[in-house]
Amino acid sequence: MAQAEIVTESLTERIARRTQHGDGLFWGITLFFAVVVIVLVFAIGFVTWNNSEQARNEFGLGFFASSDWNPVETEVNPASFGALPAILGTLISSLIALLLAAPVAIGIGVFLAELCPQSLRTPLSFMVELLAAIPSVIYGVWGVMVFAPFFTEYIAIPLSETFGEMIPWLSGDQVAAGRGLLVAGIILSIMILPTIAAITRDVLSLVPNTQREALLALGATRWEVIWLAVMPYARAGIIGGVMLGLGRALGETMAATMLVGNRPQVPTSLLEPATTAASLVASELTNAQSLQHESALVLIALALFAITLLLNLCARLLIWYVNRGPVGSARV
Amino acid sequence: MRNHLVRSLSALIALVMLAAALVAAVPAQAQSQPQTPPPWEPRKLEGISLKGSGATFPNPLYQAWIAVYKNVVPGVTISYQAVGSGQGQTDFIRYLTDFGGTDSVVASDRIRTQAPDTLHVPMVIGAVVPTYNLASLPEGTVLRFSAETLSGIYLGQITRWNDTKIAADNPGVRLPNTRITVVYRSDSSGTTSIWTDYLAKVNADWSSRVGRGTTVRWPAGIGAPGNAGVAGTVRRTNGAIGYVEQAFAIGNRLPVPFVKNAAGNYVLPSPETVSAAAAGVTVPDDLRYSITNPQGANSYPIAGLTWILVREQTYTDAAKAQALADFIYWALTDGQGAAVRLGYVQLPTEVRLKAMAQLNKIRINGQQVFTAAPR
Repeated sequence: MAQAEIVTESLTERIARRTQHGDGLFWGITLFFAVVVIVLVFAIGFVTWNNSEQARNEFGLGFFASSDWNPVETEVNPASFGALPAILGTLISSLIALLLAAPVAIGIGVFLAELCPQSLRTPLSFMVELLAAIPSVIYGVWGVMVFAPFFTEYIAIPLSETFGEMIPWLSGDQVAAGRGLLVAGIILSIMILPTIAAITRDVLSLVPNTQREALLALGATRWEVIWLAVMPYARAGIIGGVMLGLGRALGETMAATMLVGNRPQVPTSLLEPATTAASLVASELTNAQSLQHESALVLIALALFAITLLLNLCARLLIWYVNRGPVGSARV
Repeated sequence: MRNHLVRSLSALIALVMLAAALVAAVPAQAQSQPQTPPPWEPRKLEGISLKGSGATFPNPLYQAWIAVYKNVVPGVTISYQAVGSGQGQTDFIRYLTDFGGTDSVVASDRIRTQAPDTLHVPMVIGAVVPTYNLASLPEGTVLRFSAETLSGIYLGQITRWNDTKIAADNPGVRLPNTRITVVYRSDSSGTTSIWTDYLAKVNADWSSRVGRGTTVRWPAGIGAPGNAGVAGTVRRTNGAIGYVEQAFAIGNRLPVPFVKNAAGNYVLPSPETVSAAAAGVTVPDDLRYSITNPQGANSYPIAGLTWILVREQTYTDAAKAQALADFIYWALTDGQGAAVRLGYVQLPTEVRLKAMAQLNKIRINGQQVFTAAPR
């Protein structure tokens, strides 16, 4: 009797063992996907490193300090390539975008998560997410057709005529052209706004209610609850959202190329045409004049890749730094 | 109710399809009685696919040709990707494509070292126009530019519209004291190479300082992506000047100015003046030549050819090479009507004959692939 029972048990067990491979299979598939991502990142790094060999050998580290970009050799001017204009342009336009977008976007996120009446929350969230879904070329078209002419006539030209005398960064001969880092940065800020806002809202809505209730019980105001209990708890996530937005601004190509003016020279004014790394690579790579030119463009792409990685690393460090205390600890 | 709707809808669709079939059938019937039988027909090859990539400027024309050719020879499928002239050359040289499209000739040293058997077959001509936006000009006034004025503007030496040089080209026109905004192509392009080739030919300073190429270091101005980007920027910026393919100036309702040619006449780009440009220079046997700033009293000075690249010796599949030669021959003869309708300028007859003669050079194992004489 007992013997028979053991046999049937081991039989069902055996059937189970033979048929229920699901978990192992699932584990394998997800592992494969995760590995694919890592392989992709390394493959991109390898390809850009490999294809920029000529430029790395010829220019060395001086490439990143040189401001001369001349793809065509002539009797007077030799062909020369320097990454400084592109990298500075990228950093400045992204910084403008971040400075403009982050406070507004975090404000939107706080309102949606904490203060918004229930009836408004869904339509408003939907609108913000819709903003994120708009392709960048449409921002570019809107910028070229609507925003840039308005900005040039009512902001850039008056600015350069008044403050431009004192601040050289707001002056220039080419202000009337209506292309530059500031106008590109403003359009970029609109593009990254929904990314930061949506993440901020999601992160804030994950903050446990006990945090709020505890501070409310102490007689805190709405502002104090948000500032002292909710925001510190969500800090890491918000920084992550801001960094994601910054990443989008750094890599944005289409809207930037339509609005930045595409002059590969070191920017001397926010209102004058400049260029960004992504826009320079996208513009010139398809028809590069020489192998040296192509190689220099790939090296700029590699630099952009490195900048993005570095910034992500900085974001990780920052998150680790702010999170090193107990979660939700409010310093009052 | 719903069923009823579906039924009436499908009846409607059937009616529309019937009508479309009838409409399509009528001209087909009219065409099926040719007055004069054509002397040459493309070979009816089967199951062949040809791949090409390259210049964007002739892309609308190539796509139209490919679509029509599918009806002429149903067995031959051709694809053309508009990836830019530089990429087109590279793809062709790396044997990724069967033919390449390019607005600028393959450089001599590149031919020597990488692709010694490249043949250039010119297909059509495109004119580049310096278009501008000056709101204060009276309606109907079209400006005139000389070579010195255009190069002065693009060198950043002429910065105001009422400059004496512009005024000298345009006697009797009241020019405003507006600052000139120079607009150039930010993406590397064949249009830029035609434009800078012209400026380098007419201005020694440009030739020594800036040079010619698909992207150059511009002394002045702002960059906009694509022909459409330049045309759009000019259209929205008062005081702007930019260079675009002619079709984009017309499409954006921008002015097409007179340009002074080498003979000293101010000419507008038209099929006659642009075609005259291609005949106004000595045509070399390899057909790799630039037609900017040509001789001839009636030649428009800023224009360029667009070429299809084919291989002289290294095709391996005879049927493929035959299909390609047939297609190009067809495009240069029967396809010319489509080119004119789409706003491209036809090659002058003597250049077209030389282009067709290029096809006779294609050989596989010493065997001529295409024997039809140029016509």
